[in-house]
Amino acid sequence: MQNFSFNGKGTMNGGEYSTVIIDGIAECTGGLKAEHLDIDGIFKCAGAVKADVIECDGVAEFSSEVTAKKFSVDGVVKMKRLGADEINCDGLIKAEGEVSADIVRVDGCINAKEIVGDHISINPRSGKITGLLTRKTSCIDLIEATTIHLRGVSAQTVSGKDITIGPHCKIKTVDCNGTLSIDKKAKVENITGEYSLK
Amino acid sequence: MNTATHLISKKDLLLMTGISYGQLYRWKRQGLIPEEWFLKQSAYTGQETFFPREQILSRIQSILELKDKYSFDELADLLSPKASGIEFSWDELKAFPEVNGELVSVLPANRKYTYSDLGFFSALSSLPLSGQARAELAEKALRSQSLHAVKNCAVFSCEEKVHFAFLNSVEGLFLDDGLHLIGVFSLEEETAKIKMKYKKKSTNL
Repeated sequence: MQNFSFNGKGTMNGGEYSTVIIDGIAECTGGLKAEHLDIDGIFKCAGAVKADVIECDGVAEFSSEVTAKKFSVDGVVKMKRLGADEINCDGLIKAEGEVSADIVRVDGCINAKEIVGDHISINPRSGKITGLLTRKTSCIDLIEATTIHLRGVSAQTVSGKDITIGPHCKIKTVDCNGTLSIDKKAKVENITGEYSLK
Repeated sequence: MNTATHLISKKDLLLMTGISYGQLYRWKRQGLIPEEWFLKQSAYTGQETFFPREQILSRIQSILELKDKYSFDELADLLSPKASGIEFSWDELKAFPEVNGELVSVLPANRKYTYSDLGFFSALSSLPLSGQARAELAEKALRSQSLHAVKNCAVFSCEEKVHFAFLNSVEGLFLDDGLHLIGVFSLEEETAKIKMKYKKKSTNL
């Protein structure tokens, strides 16, 4: 399979490639399959995207489903749905629907309807704006996983086996069937399930 | 007559099967559990997810039994309702004890049969039907040429005649008291059971 590198500004058809590097401003009109998709510029894709590795240090907007083995974001990504083995986010992910992965590690911000999987860890990254330290709160309707660690998250429902609700979380309902830890700086309205407090 | 709505909540499913959230969602991503089985319904706690009980329990049992013997791609293929491309001659049907021998003897000898056909015949063979009724249903189903796309089937009788209906979901199926429900089955599961049994045998040779 071929490699494909896009500099400048324009549109591209979809297709199947080995490595795709987006360095300019590109709009993809079809579906895209690749071993490696590297986004350093601005990328908009209308079709479904499937890749072994997707790395976004720039800005990407996916109008359809995204599937990857490893999905890493240091920039900003907006999508409908995401399924991966591993998701690492130091930037911002905004998903309209479900984000599903074995491992979700967010050291930035993630807004999604649902985040589901095996191990989910969300920490807001502190940034400096006009000299003030700010925390970006992640907003999610449902978080569901075997192990969950949250800081700075606002969610309707958090369900899992072993759950740690850290500081600056605001959760409507926690349903835990394992071990539960809630920081004194967190607000949890309801707790259900059979759990032991840590 | 109303068929019972057999659903199981996600929470009860995990408790009953011992699988984790991680496994459930991994198998969903891998196509081993169809997305349409995740049924969102309103509950007092908010939105809750339910599954068709018998189908999901049967599927999870199959996955747990086979996940160490096959790759996930192979499993997805085994459990997928899409045509596998394998066909059997009429003579080869006799090698499947799941299919009633009397039924085999009345099936057309000059055509090929797929796993979906076998799944249907196997399900019919386990229902309390006369030989003639079973043969009539099989003939009608083959003429429909749509067994490969069928998810579920309900078999019922009306004034001593037996009929079937193909359904996307058995949830909420209601028959009036002029009809007598003989049986309901998931053709996807019947087909998958036969595929798994006979693909496994051919791998061990």
